[in-house]
Amino acid sequence: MSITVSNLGKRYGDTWALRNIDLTFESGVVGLLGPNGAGKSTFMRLITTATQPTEGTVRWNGTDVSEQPRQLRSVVGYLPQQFGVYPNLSAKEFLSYLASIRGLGSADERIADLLDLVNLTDEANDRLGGFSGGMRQRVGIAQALLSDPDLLVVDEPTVGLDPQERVRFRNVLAELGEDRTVVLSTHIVPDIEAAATDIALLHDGRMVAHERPSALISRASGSVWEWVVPEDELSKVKSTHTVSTTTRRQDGVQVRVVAENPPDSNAELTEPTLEDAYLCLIGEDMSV
Amino acid sequence: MSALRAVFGVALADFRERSRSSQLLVVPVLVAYFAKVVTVDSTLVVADQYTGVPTAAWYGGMVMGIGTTVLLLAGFPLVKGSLARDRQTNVAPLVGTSPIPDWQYLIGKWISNVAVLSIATAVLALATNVAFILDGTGALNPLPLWLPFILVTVPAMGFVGAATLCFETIGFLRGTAGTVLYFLVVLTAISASLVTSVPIDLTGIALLRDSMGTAITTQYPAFEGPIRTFAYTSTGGAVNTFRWPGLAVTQQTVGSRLPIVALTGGLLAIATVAFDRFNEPSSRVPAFLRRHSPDDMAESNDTTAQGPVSSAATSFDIDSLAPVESGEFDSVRVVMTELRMALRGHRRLWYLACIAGFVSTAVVPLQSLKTVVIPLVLLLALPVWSALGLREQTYRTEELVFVASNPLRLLSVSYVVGVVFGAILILPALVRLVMNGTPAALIGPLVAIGCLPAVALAAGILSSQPSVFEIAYLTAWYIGPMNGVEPLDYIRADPSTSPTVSVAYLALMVVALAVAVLGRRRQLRS
Repeated sequence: MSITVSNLGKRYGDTWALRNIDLTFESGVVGLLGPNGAGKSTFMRLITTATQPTEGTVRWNGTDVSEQPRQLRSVVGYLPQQFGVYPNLSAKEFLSYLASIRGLGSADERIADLLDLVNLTDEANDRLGGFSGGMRQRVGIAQALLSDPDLLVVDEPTVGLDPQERVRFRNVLAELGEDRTVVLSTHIVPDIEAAATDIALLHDGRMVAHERPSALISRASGSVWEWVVPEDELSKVKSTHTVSTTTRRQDGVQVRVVAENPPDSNAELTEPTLEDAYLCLIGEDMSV
Repeated sequence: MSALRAVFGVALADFRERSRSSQLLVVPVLVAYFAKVVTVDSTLVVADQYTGVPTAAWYGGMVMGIGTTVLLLAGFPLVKGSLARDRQTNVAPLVGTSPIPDWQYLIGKWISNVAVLSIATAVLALATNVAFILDGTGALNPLPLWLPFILVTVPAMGFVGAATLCFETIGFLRGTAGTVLYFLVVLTAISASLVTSVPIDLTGIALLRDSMGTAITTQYPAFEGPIRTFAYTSTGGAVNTFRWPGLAVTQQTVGSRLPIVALTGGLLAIATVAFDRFNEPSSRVPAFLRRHSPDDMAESNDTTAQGPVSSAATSFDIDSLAPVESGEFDSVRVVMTELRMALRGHRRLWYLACIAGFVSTAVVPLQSLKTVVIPLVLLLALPVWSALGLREQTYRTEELVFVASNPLRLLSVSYVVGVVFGAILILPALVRLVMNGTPAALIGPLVAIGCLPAVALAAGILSSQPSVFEIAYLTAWYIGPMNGVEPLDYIRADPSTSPTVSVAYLALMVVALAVAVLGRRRQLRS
């Protein structure tokens, strides 16, 4: 079970949203990281056959999905970043509809289980038109798991979820990744940290890194500094350095900065996090 | 000054957004072709026996007369949707929470509507000018050729722009009901201006009638006006020619446009009062389907640190989910679900009308069944048919459903749903025609319920809005089955209509389905 991407590119008009991407995913959770406009959603749309590549190929177990999209569609679960629902159908009816167009047999029991998973059992027969954003997002998660997918592609899946649901879904993703391929895109770095076994870093439509989280973090080793600055100097530090986090304290503000050289005489080296590594690699890529 | 800047800003942004759509590029081509058909392929015969010397003025008046009528009808779907677009693109909340007053926002939208329609008018006048250069008589005098468009068509386009905007601000007029009402109002206005002096001469036909009538009387004193008929015909015949000097800028002609300007102002005033700054219940607004903004995401991110949560609430054994088996695409089940979706969410009045229509096809006398009742009842399918090919786009479910299944297979399901619904509506009539030993009479209705959903599907996919099919269908229904004009009698309501008409509509069905498939493929590639 593997998905292989070769020289993948997508152009909208004159702009390349994605170019020269080569990747292979097997079972596990692959976290896609990158700033806005990096090409993460385009990449997900390409590997799910939602859109066609301008160049390159996507192969699922060796089969080119552009030529035989059905091979992939029968095993993929996809939660797009932007999606809608039919307001006049209930949650149960909507899932039943998607099950029928997926060619799934009797799916009633699984739909009930999935509604339980996303805590919508009590609202199963309510029309989707009255659902809040978070509830619709949970319906989206349920539909992505409808076909017991071998490949699960989820784009910003935890947006709109409360913390409890978010952690729960994160755990579900990690569990699914044990024997399937999960591609997860999110801006919420702790979600990636918690679930991803691999991380692919995209920037400006190109692949900057594809590594294990620990390897990625180690690339920022020796580049993360912390020290306390007076509150009135904070804006100056922010304007001259890549500040990862700030924490207010009684004696000032503790700043965490990603930099090659010590940013201040009082700055001390500290252990990097994934967020630091992300900032470090994106910063390096921009300077290149 | 800031008000003007705001109005201009809204108008410019809206116009730019529309003008960069490839769909709008088709309009000048269609308008130019229309001008060619009117000027080169046919001629105007008034009062059954008079036609004008083909001067610049005659060309201008001849094309303006029918061009304004067509633009009054076709302009509605062309510019409709300027507020809906702001809802669908999630610009609505930005507008709703901005300080711009309602009237400034709406006037900006109106100006954009009028700009689009004025471009169509300009293309029409320009194409007429070219046709005159090629085929006309006498000197090219631009003023009498262009004046009818400036004096009549442009104010009428102002009305169209205001009417669409007004209908979009009033909830129950936003959908098919609004299109039907608009069609009936314009149709009444056109019919009235042909036979009597009307206070609001939208099409300018009354102006032409009086002006041409005076010219004919001067040259043919035996003529007893007024002119009752304007026929655009391609068949030659013995007609008298007269020289028409064209419309003049007089107090009377300019004054005759003032009621249209006042009507436009009134519609804009109603729109301003009715406009709720996109404050509709979320279930009625497609934009509600949007995901959270980055700010919401940040908020969601911040809440992660808020206290521990129990492991029972955050864990789920994924293996406990019931298994599901992959099988074949269950067409019947999908059709039934699609049919359910197509029938839900309409107004109660529509359901009552459908029931009444269904019952009427079972009880009315057989002789009026095909001539009146079936065409009328099939009109009730308008909201279902006009939504074909649009649902995924309207509710932004494309990525969910097109990844889940073969998009072209779903397209065929949509078409089948349209056919099935049409057949259900007139089922008693079909049964009665068979039972009464007139199965041949079934051909017309069956071709209609096969062809109309196909055309609706193609129109929906190509135009991305329902009103294009709605106006086209209503126009065809009125001209064809209701008035017996053979080429548009898609149902063969008139017994004398040739069977070749049904063959032509079958061919149209095939072409429309092919266009729908190509259009969907194009959508998928984008």
